[in-house]
Amino acid sequence: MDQLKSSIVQGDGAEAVKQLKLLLSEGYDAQVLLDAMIDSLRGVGEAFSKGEAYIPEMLKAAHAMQQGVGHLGPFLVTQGGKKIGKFMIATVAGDMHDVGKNLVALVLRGNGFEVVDLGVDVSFNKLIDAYGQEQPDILGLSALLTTTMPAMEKAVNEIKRAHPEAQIMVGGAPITSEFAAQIGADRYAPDAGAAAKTALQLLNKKSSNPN
Amino acid sequence: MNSKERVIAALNHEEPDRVPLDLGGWVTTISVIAYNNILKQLGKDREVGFFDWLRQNADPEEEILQILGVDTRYVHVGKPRSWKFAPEERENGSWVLDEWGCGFIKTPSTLYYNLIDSPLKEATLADLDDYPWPDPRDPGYLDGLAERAKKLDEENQYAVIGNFAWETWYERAWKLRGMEKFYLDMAMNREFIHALLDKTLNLHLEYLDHVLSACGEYLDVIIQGGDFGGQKTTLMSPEDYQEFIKPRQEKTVELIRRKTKAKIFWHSCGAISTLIPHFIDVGIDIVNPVQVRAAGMEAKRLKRDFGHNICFWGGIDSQQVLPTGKCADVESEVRHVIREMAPGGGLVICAVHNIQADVPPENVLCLYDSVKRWGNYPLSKDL
Repeated sequence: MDQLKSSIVQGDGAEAVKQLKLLLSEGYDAQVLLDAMIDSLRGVGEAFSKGEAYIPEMLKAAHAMQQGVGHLGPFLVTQGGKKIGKFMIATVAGDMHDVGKNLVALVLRGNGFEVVDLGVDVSFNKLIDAYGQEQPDILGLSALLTTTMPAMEKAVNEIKRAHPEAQIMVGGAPITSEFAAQIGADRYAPDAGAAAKTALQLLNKKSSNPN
Repeated sequence: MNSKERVIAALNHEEPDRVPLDLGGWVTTISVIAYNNILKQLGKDREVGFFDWLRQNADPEEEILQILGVDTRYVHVGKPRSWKFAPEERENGSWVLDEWGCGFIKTPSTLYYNLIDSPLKEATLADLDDYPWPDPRDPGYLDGLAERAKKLDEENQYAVIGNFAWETWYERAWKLRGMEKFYLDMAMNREFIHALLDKTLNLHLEYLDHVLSACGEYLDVIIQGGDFGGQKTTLMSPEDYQEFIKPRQEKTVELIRRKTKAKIFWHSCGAISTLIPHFIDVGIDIVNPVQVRAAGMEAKRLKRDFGHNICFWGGIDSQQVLPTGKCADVESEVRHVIREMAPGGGLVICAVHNIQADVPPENVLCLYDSVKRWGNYPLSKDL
């Protein structure tokens, strides 16, 4: 099990799959293995938040996780494995930056979320339609430019008007917790590691207050 | 003391008569929207078009540079013969294939062109040799170049800046590969990243040799760069910086030193305070844009730790103060940067990166007026 965990931290997807095969053949429960990998990826996310891991290491770990989850998929389905929640993510209208958003999506997938990624420069109409269709547990919005911060505010307002129960997280270089509060977003996350943590908190809050 | 002397003194870590001002370079200019707003604010009955198609930036006119009190003048390369800006209107926006084969799009909701297609995203090492690389010695680059530089040099009024980033070998490399793939490869396919950076670096050095042979002798400063920082940390680890980037910065500096006496300006956005000692080590003279809102980039700290060995160029916050502040906030930011960074020279002021479309014209005028008001040496005790 330690070797599995270390393969995620090291970003070695092939090794993760090898260890998973071994552990499954030894009778380990797939959910237990998934939880172990999630735990390792969270560790990398925390190191990333603290500035002890960088984009290449974070990407590598998240990709190794993807490979591992890909291998575990069928075992989880047969054992009734389930995503912990649905997260919809988008870069706001007018903004085409996606590296930060993609990193958040990767890490959230690695943390057990089903992620619906709407892409970049997502229009308000597309966002609202997709939200209505998908009914995610959490919506994450990203912006890199100061010129698209007003679009983030508009997106939060429109979603909240149509879906007052919506839980919205925001992030991106110029975004601050003050700005998040000012535009009515529920949470701010400064990086991908923090985003995973915050999404789990929001999910827990939601499950303890279903209405 | 004229503008040229002012800039040179500051870059020699001496106190000139006032803190020099810049506007007009690759990463120190202004969006065409913001520029036209200034023209309107100043009562000028005209609008200009873009100069830099990618970022939709303006090339500020001489009249406006004089009104603002800008101490620098730029020399830009001419248009390449082998490539033309030819936007193609498609369903989702205007597409441009640049001279490197990268695809860019400007959708109806975006203010400039963004990378949409990276031609080397699936490439292997072997593909690099067959790729149709652009000609770094395109004769078009020299059109008007030496004449403009020589004229500015003879006039001896303003600091002459060579705007020769050519989008830089580092930016080119990730644009060709795609940013996410590039950084993943930095962890998993290191040999490829080395080979790709070697390609873009060697082309860049050829380009520099080409343009500096024409005008190197007239320059006071040359613009180079590559973004290595995010909001909180560097994008890559210190070890990766030292393996992938520093030796290539050394080669860049080495070539420039052979061709010109100009001071070397390096642009890198973000939280790069941990890299500045390396910049100093390789011989970079000036760091830009001094992104003061990024972690570890506080003006006071940078000046204290590195101010004796490197100059700062930029410094006026564009992530909050310029777009959302009032004139009083801009003035207060200018005073702060002057107080912390101007003592002993070593400071040229402009916005942190190009002034974006959302910056009110009053704030731009206020930035330049405030430096003229508060930037005079000896520095005021009331700063």
